[in-house]
Amino acid sequence: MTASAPPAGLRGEPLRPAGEKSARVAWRRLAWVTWRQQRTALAGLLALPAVAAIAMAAIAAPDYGSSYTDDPARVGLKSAVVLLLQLTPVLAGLFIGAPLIAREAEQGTLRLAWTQGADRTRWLLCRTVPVMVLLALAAAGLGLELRWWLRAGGWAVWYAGGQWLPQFFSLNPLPFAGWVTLSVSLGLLLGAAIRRTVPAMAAMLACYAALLSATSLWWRHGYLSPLLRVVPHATIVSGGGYGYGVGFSRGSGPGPYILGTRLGWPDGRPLSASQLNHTAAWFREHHIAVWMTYQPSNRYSTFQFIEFGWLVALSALLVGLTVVLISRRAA
Amino acid sequence: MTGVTSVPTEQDARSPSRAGLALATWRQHRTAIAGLLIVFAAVAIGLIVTGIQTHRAYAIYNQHHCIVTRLPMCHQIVIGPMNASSWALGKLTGAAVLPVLAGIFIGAPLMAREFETGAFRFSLAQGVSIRRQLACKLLVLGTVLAVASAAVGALIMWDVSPYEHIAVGRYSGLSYWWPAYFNNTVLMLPVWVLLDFGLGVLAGVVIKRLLPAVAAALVAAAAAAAGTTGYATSSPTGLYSNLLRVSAMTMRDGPSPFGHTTYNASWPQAVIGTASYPPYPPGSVQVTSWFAGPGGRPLSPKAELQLFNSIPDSVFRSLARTRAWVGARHITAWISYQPADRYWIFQSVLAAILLAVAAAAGFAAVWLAGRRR
Repeated sequence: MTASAPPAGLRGEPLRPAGEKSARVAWRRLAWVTWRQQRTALAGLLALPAVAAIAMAAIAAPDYGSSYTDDPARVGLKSAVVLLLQLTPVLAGLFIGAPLIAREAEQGTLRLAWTQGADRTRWLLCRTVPVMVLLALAAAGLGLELRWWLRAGGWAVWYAGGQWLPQFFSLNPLPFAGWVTLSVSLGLLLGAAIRRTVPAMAAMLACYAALLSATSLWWRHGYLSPLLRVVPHATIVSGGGYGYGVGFSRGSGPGPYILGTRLGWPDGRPLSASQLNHTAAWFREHHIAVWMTYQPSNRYSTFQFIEFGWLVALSALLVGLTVVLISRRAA
Repeated sequence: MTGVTSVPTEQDARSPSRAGLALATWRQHRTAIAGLLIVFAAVAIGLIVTGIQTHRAYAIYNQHHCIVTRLPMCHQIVIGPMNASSWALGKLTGAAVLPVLAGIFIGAPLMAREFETGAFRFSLAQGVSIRRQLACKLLVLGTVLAVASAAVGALIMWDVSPYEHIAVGRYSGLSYWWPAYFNNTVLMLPVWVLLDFGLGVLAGVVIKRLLPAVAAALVAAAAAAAGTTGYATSSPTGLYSNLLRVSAMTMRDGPSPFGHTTYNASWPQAVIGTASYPPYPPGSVQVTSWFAGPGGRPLSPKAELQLFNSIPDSVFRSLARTRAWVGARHITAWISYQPADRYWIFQSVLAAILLAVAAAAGFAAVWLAGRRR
């Protein structure tokens, strides 16, 4: 008896039991496995913002006054809620992103995971995308609740230029969702590259802190070129000191974000250091004015879209790099 | 053919020396130690660079006698080159993260990873008990952490010292009694590092799984900071706040019936904005303040509110008349404070309490590790 056909495996087809339609694991089943594997971490992580959400709902009474009139315990509680929300992206990267591949690689279970019928790309996308979408939606929802809470609570910092402050800007719905997505994808890539859990977590924390600091302190100011204008009703004294007390806010919503002020000539040129030593009369005589560089309030939403856009693009790039990395490396 | 089996000699059976254990600890954790020392070194370099700038600006500040005078340019130096409002707080906040890092990246994985991977069984066969191994690890790593964090604490004190002088001069409002600074001195920073490290190790021994242990260490560090001392919140019920109340000194808060404080929600609008300096000696910290009635008896918050609500509108419009109206009813403002010379006593007391907790966590971890199989 002669065999007329080569075995299935030699023809390049996957070996599978007779009668099975396809060896490819369905997306739905992969998602189910993802849920089963990560439910504890997800539940633990989502518990933190849930606590913050409940705390916000519980303490934002309509007659809640300005933060200056609150007792220290309530001010502390408000600060704790904001801090908890700020930590959410970090924790997502630390406890969801970084260990996702690193832990499996460290324990050797990656070999098992990659021989279950789903190719590595599908395995990775199915494990990360639903989690990232879920966390991003939760973050956006929390951002909306925080915005309502700060307004209802009458937090003075939320008005005028306060909304531009780094600690609040990144908690707006779109940037918040973007930072959560980025932290998970950053942890994912570092976990795939380092393949050890604790070093991957530490590296993720360092990279995230560096990126967030650089964005908050420098990059965000330059999404669009700042504008320059004279500060009205400013008082200039001898020696170059000046003061101004005119608000630019419309009373509701974000005010302008003042990046800096300086003394300058009527055409906007700055004064040199030696020229600052003149008397108040000299400043009046030469029509010296206080100039400020600022981002106007109507750019507030635009800046959020810009930040969300580059964060999501960078996240997609990092996930893509992770796919390339795990495809090329042996299990 | 005869098989020869070597019989263990007395020397072989002897447990490894302390030096050998210390060497093994170093070999096992050198990457983690190196990583942590890099972080500490980076913080130290940052402190040195910014500290030099701050000290230069402070020299200019001194040249203009800004501590005793209030020229407009003094304020410009404080908010400009010294950048008191953001840099000082930023540095202190950054340093406050170091204990947490020690807890979650060194403390929690120390035993949790060994239990999770099963490597602790291997270490059980090394001729030395797991308790002794863990005690040696705690000693070596704790010493390294304490020395490194003490160095950073000393740098912080040097770096922020100009702000202290300004605060004593009552210009910038910064104070070395602030919890953020109080907890980052050469004494307190190592104590916080050891506490978070000890709590992390204990979490690892109890939970025996890496990620849950890291999460637990993070929660424990946050709880210790926020709940115990008012480190992260301004809670008046924290240990730090309560310690300050011990034997606080009392004095009349100036001749004004409203005292020196400028703002209180229940006060008449007329008195808001009447800033003045507190009457206690420079470098002290105010602990509490209250109003006293005619017999010197403290007014309750409700009575205080009722009193101010009863001030007629016509009196409200003038600060002088409001003061006279309140003064005529023999209302006086009082404060309690801790003088500057008690600063290091409070540092020592709080350090001793937290160090005891850290030691208890370490002993509990060593004891529990011996029971776990």
